[in-house]
Amino acid sequence: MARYFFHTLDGECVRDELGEELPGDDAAREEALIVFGELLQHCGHRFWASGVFSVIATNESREVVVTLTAQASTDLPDDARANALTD
Amino acid sequence: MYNALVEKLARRDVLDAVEEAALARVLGPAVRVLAGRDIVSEHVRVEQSTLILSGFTARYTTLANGRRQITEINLTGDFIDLHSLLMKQMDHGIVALTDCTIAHASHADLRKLVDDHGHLARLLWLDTVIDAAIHRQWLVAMGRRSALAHLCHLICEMYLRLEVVGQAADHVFDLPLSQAVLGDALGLSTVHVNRLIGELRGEGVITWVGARITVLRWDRLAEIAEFDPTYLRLHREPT
Repeated sequence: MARYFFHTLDGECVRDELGEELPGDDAAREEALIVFGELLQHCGHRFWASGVFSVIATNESREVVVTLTAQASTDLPDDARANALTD
Repeated sequence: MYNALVEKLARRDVLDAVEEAALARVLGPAVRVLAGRDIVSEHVRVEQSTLILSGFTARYTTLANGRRQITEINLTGDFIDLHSLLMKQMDHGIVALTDCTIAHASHADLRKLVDDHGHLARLLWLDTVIDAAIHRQWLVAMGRRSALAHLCHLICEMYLRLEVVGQAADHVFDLPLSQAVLGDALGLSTVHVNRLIGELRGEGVITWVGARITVLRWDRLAEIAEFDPTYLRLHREPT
């Protein structure tokens, strides 16, 4: 087991000081996705204000395990198949 | 040692001395259980029910992926598995969340107790019915309330249940549960629980230092939770 930290960025940076014991990086990525989904749903008002929301998972050595980001905009994703949606 | 249970039952209806004595007779000696130990394991058949004399326990179910959902937190004065008298095989486990003192009552003695004392039997039945009401409220909170409202609802519930057994007063009480345990009870990540507690602190609704919770603005807490204590059946009425 190792300790992982899940920090968030949504206009303000909230550092996770407590962390969570998890079996490894795969579990930390899974947990990051859960935290991402829960907080995005719960903190919608702040997300709409900043337009960006990120969860940054780090290990005990402060190395980034994964970053997940949601972005609100009227731009289409950079993917040709997305362009077909507005043609 | 069974006083908390008597206090709780007496909150709902008058108990006479004969009933109190009969209840005391079915309970075995006090047993210490360390935090983290299972008091009852999932799927086992049990021949006794367990009363908490002190401490906190949780009813839980563990999924194949190792994730745990706590379905009720129990406290001093709670029979944690009175339903096992009729259910026989446990559909959930019970773990000590803190060091606990418990006492067992054999099912044989409990059967005789309910045969001999109809009114007491109805009061114990009511206790299991209230457990079901608590489960209903948790289900509503889990499915439809916001995460913040869910946490507020749990705080309101724990305060009132602890107050009944003399372990909370003046909006101050101890809830010695880790944020991981709270996460398992609320179905939320510990990071999210931590964030929600910070939000309530920031708004001046509560202070939470170590295990000690002080509710500074009960009305606001209850408003966020849309808390209606009807399901705890805290009034006295012939049963």
